[in-house]
Amino acid sequence: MTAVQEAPATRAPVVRNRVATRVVLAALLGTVALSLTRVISDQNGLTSAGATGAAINLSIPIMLAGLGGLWAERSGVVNIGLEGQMILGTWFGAYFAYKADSAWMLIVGGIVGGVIGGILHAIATVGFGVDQIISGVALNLLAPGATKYLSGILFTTDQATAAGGGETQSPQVKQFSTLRWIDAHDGLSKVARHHWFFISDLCGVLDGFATSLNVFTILALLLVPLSWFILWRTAFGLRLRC
Amino acid sequence: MKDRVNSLLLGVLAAVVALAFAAGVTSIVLEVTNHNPYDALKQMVDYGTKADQIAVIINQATTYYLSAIAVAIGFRMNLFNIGVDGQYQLAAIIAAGFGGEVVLPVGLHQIAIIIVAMLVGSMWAGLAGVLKATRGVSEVISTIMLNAIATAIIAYLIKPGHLGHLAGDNLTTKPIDSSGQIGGVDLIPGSDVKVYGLVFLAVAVGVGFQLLISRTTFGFDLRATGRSASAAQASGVNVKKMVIVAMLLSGAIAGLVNMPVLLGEAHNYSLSTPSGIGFTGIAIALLGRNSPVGILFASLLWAFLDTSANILQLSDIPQSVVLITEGIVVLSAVIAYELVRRYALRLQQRRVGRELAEDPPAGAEALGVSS
Repeated sequence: MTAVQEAPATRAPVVRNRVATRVVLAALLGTVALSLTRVISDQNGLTSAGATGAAINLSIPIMLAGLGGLWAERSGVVNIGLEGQMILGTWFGAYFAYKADSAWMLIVGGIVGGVIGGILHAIATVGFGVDQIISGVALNLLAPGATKYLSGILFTTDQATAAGGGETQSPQVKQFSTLRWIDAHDGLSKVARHHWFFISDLCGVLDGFATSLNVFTILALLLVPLSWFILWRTAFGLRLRC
Repeated sequence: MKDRVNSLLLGVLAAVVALAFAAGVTSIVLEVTNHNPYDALKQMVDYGTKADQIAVIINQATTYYLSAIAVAIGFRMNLFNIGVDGQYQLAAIIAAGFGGEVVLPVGLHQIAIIIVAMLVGSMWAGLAGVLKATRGVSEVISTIMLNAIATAIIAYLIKPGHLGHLAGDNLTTKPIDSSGQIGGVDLIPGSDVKVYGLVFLAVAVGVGFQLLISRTTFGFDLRATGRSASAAQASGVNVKKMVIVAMLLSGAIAGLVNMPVLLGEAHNYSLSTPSGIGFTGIAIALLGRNSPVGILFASLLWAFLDTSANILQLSDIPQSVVLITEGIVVLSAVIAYELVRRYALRLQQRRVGRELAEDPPAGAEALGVSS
């Protein structure tokens, strides 16, 4: 970091390249490790497109929670209330998407719910000076209760039950369709089928990316570089981290 | 003395205000969703004050009370023992397994089971204490992780062939022989439900906690460390030792949480043994301001809300409305306590300021300045 500050014009691209090289290297090494494990354990499904796709979809919520934690921790807030904020986000996302019958409203609702939780947390901690951990614990208590009650009222109407709703689950909502990059899938899956060491594994993993991403996953993944940019490259980010 | 009475009154006032606020919000929620809040409350009170239900509430509150005291011991020295949940469950399954496998004379059997539970609970909490004292690991993080590990260990232990036996589609430990059970007592006249015999243990724990905190050097050190670790260190308190001992104590009490149910009613640990009481304990400790008496009222309130909510089903009100009440009561209580603390501090400052202004220093008087 100090190097960047001394001569930003010349040194910054070098640093960025170094980071990019490291990421690519790590990805390749990871694939080699997976490949070795597959050969040794004889589990060919390990690097299949399906497994990779499932891994991506499972990691997105954890990653988003992690990003939420990153933003809070970098501004000096210990956000124990993440769990409650996620619950609120999930409920509002489902409700918005159900009411508007649109997958995009799912994202809007998710953000609204999370922000409601964040505002409550902020009122208690910043407004009244309550300990952050205590406020977070209280939020985690409130969120499941509130959403369960709301579900009991709003997801049990005749219309909602017909769509699969109930006290413990929302009606089925629209999903983002999976983006399939057919050309890439054709080529990659052909190579992957041969189970060649490393090459097939790499193709299988890439095939997973080509066949299981949707608009939301891509947006979520883009939040990582975006967060980095805002937190470390803008005046707002600097103030937040201070 | 006057200050103490004042702050006590303010604390009670804050709790009442928080409760009223929560009741208000819940009423609005009910009103908005087309239910009559007055009727709902009346039903809950009518149902919750029946003899049978009072016994149920006391039983439930016993469990909550122990859990909240376990949390409060940590809170008193600024340690957040989020791990009471894992500690009591791990202690419950091991104590239940132990109690089921051995047969000892009456008296010894019960005591042995309780001691095993306390040991397991304090060991599990002690891990977090040692990590904090030696490596500076935040106890919030480590106890959360230890909860997850405890869940995994329990899933392993409950398997048939380890401690578990298949009973229908439930997995249970071997039932504790009658020599290790503790019968209920008819505490509530006219009730068919007996109150757990170990309710007296919970009372003893509460009294012991109060004595420990207010009448012993250890309690003084504990509170001093909670107020300011560096100041306590400077005045000769071994803060690292205090961290470990406080976690061990907290864990030992956490180990007791499931004992009233285990020895008084269930007699085994099974998949249907309640979980999550550790987190309820955190809320109750916060609401009760970490004092044994406050926690007593808070746990009774909590148990009342949980139990009497059952009646709401009859009038088609989702039971989960009480979860909203509970959540808001805790959130508004912690805010109210913080406001009261600041207000009391200001009052005290003003009083001291006034006294200083009125009475010139004794030395000045002696010199005849004030005459």
